[in-house]
Amino acid sequence: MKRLAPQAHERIDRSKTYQFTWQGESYYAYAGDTLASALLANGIDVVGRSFKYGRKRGILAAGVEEPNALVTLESGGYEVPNARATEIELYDQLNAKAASGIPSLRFDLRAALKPFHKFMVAGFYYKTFKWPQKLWPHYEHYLRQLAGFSEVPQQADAEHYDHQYQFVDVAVVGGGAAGLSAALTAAQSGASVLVIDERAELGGELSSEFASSAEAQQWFSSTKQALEQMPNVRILKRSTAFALHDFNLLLVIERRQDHVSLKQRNEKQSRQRQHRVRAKQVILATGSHERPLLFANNDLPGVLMASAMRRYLNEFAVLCGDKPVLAGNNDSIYALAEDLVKRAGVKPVVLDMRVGYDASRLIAAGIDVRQGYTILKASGSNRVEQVSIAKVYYDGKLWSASAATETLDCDVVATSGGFNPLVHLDCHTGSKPLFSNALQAFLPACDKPARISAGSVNGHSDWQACVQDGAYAAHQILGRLEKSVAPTTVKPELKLLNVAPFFCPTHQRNKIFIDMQNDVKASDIELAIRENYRSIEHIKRYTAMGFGTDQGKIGNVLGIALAAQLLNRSIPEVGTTTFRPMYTPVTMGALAGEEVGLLFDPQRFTPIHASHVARGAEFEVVGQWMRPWYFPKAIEHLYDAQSAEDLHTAVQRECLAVRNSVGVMDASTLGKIDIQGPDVREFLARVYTNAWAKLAPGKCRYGVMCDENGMIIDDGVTACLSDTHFVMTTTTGGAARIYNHLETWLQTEWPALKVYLTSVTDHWSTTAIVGPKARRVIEKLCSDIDFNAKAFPFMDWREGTVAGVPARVMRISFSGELSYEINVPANYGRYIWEQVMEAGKEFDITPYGTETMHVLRAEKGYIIVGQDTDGSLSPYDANMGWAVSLTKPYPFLGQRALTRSDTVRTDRKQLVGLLPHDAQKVLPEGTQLVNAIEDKAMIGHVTSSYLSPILGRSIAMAVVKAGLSRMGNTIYAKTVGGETIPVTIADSVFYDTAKEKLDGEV
Amino acid sequence: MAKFEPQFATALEQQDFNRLNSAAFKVQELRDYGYVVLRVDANTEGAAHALAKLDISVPEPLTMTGSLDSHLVKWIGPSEYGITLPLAQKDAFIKAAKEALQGVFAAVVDNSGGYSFLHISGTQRYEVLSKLALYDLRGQLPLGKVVSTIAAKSGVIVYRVEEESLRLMVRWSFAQHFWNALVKASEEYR
Amino acid sequence: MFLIRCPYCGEAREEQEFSYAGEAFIQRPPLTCSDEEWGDYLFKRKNIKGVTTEQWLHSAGCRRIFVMERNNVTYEILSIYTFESKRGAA
Ligand SMILES: [Zn+2]
Repeated sequence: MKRLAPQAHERIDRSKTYQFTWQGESYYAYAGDTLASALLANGIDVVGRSFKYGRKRGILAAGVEEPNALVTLESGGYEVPNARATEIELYDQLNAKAASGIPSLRFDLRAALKPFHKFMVAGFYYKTFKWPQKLWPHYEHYLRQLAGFSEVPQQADAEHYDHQYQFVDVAVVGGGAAGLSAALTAAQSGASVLVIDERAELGGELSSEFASSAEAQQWFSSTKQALEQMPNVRILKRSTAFALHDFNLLLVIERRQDHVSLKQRNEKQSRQRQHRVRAKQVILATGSHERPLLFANNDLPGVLMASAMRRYLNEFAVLCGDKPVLAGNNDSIYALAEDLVKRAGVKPVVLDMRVGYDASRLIAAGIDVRQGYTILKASGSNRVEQVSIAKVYYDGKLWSASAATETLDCDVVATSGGFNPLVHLDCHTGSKPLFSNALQAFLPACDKPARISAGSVNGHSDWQACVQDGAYAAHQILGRLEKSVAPTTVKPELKLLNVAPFFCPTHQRNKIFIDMQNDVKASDIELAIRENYRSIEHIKRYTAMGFGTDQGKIGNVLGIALAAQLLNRSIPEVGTTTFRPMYTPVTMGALAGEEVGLLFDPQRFTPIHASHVARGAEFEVVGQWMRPWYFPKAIEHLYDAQSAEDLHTAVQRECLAVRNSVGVMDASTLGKIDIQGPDVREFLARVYTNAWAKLAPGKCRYGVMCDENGMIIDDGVTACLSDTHFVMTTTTGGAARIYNHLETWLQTEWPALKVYLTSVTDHWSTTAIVGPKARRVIEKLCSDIDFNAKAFPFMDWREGTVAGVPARVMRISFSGELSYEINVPANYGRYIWEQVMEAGKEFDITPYGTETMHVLRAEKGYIIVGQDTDGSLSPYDANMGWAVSLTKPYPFLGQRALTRSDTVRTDRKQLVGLLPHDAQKVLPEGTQLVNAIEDKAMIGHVTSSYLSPILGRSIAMAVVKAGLSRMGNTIYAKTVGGETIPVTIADSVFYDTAKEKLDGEV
Repeated sequence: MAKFEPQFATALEQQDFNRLNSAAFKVQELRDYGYVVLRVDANTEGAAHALAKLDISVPEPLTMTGSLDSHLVKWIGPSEYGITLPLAQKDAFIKAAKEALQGVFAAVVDNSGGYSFLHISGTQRYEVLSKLALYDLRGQLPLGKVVSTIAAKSGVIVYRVEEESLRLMVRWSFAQHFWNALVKASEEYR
Repeated sequence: MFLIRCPYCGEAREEQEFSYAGEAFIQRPPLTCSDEEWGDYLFKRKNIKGVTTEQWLHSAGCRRIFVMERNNVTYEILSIYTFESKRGAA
């Protein structure tokens, strides 16, 4: 058994046994175990196959830095790919399998390719699969299958995710000794404090000390208890701060339910939550990760980090091996040796590269301590069985090693090659970490405002110093917050672990792994440098070092040190690669939060929406608005079968109803801006191309709006309510943009203009009654307006009472037919629509959608900004010179540009009509146009195209070079499908050119 | 002419308010309020006199004056105030305001139909809203304060006139989306 | 993500409440200018690496435009002020 007898301070709860499945077989472990400790307790060595060579791999670490033990959890909608076994809290019935290992952990295809491994060096993929390019998809498929990661889950995620915004005075990242101490000090000042810790329980590396230090345990319990009782402290456990952005935007992922068995998960709660924290001050108490020593076959299962072995021993009562060899280059290795003796009665062999450490106590206890030694090579088949050791010398600059002096039998090897402070978050905003020779580590620069680091990330190694450093950091930032708490503290002295400089016993035939997840070897770094890569960023990319899901947490610094040695530069000269978010992989679900499905983008609804739904409308999204697209009628078939009209049939029917009788449309989505002030006419004259000085109250006018480049950006009808009060309508999609455009000009260029703008888009609901019988419908609903065509002519508006509701009725038309647009406050919108439907019943009033609206307006040649224009069409190009007044006292926006040499070119693309020679042929919108059948040079494209029911033929609008001067010419449309369709250039007004229909039935 | 009985329907009329009606989180849509936008620079000629006549004292940035019983004046921006008042008094108020401001550079705009007016309460109101709102409503919205911000990708105006609740205005067309977001965000408290 | 202190609202707000509204203080030339000058006005921007002067609109808040001076390399915001204060000073 690997599990020891119950230990004081162990994390596991032996009263609760959990069953779990690994690779299809059933095992048992305890509550409190991680999947990694559970696997180790069950004696499982091999947990995966490596990325490139398919080598057997075991558990290397005990936390987030684990590169090897990637697993797939569960299946179906609960499948989690590439989870780290070291972080997974075991729950009952957990089902896990190795992420890699095709077809099995015992036999691996990539391992079978072993004779070819010598060819699979750094840059192998780049060199081998580069050519021929067209075969890359084939290679890619094969390579992806081989890659040592989980398969992508095939089912949609069954769980949901959310976001929460947090605002705090102080965010403390890390719940170890330094973090807890900092949090307590900060909280005592009254500041609001958020503590973020990635583990299930606070304590961090301090937890490993409880077994040997009652004082540490006591300090922890009292601090934790104090924090938990303070109302101004919030503690996020199982939470990883994965990014720190400018202005202290700290992004945190909280795993709310990952530790709960599938059966017990609460569907109402998110599985994971992304906290978006704005902190006035951030304390980075992120800790450090141990790095290993390098030697040949250092990736054998059974070789692991010393600190990990210590955690498994002290927190999980798991002994990773009976015959340990411990090897290190710093003082920390001896603590593990002591714990092994004390807790498990195991006497390890201790190899210390250095000489001089006083190990007399351990030697007296009968432990074999060899100073000036290190491991050259490990060997074994399924796990480590032996190590060859050698004597090493340091000449003040470089290490050298003797030949192997001895071979030691062992079943586990634990190493410590120093510590990597977790500088990641500090570097996310561009800071560069600083190398400390004394610590042989990169430290956070913390040179951005409103942040400070504390604890082992600053190089502290003993817990008391971390506690002191945390309190010191808190005092520093409290000063910045103008808060304080007594007593003040001083910066603690660094107690060095005396980490020896980097050493890698190269020049061996066997592989030495720098980055285990990506199978990057010491020899790959050498090769990259031989091939003249110099920058560490290039070496990284050539070798793929740090490209894995662990982002090289363990290996990168070793790679940098090796590169420095080979390049004969110092480590700071070589520098680090760039640390970018995310610190750890974050699920896509947590990034999206609840903003998926229906909540992905707001859907805007008009007040009449429920009526459209009740009438079976099909909808289309127009700039977030849900607009009725068409209203399909049910079709009765024999034997009671039923179906609905298709788009074409419905639109045909709707168009003819409007042209021959009466239709009704929901026009509520148009943007509406209330404009008031003494300078309103002047303002309109400046923003529209036409004149506004003389428009009388009661009248409306169509206007075209240009940008300063003279190109059309919007159009719409504006009504004059009084000399100082107008209401403008904008296109549906342009409402917000045009409102901002107008405000920008008022606030920046024309602050002297006395005009107030107010958006009233949502206040009004608009029902348009359209068709020759429109008058007969509205007359049934409104008695206080004279609808006689002479009394209420086209482009006038009237105030009145429609169906008992005060309304503004506008006689404007987007179809060429008689049309009344009834505007009422939104809360009466649906009522008015229903009244119109009721009143129109006798005329078979037909509701119609955007598709019919498009056909009707195209028959009249009315443009849709954004469809027929694309930001490069001037009013002249659009054949709308009639809407341009060049004689206004203050020239309108865009006027100057209309005389630019480019704008006055006669061969500009101009908006024209097209009539396909085959009257039943509808050109696809976007189709390119050419002059002659054989031509390839495009002269324009189709912008709108429909089958016109009233004309019984196809029509189109298009932009064509110099098109306005080419009426009657035949040109050709070349479709994507390869067809060439002859068309005649025509006037874009296809229907009722004499405007005889405008007044409706007489 | 037929006899008409106009029917008034608010943006969330069709929603099932029982879904958001617990001690933890409760939302009500208020039908009986009107909303008038007043644009005026208090320093402009004639403004002070007109405002006094209307019993309006101009609020400082992000604050409110008056009360919901007569007219609650909210600061929206410089020279821009949002006035919430009982719907029954709205037309009379607009008439009085237009008369009082005759000849003054100002605008009075009825925007009553532009919004859905929500009353949000419950012990978990801040937990729910902090999933949606970019603004620190818990910490930065004391009594008497008003902010325009974004929640659930929709523009909202949030203000506080009572200790235990928040009031929120969301544009009519966004109301249903906002409702859907509230339903989802409060799910774990039902 | 910026935290921007709106000079009208008087407090810091999330960047999502604002929209960038172009380079500040671009001089609109007289309409009698040459085509080339007008083209420069329309299309040429300083595109500075370093300290830029920009217009920002508090679009989801008070709807006012103000000036923000910021370093686009370090993301530091150096100053924020209103057009009124600039006009007052000039
Ligand atoms: Zn503002």
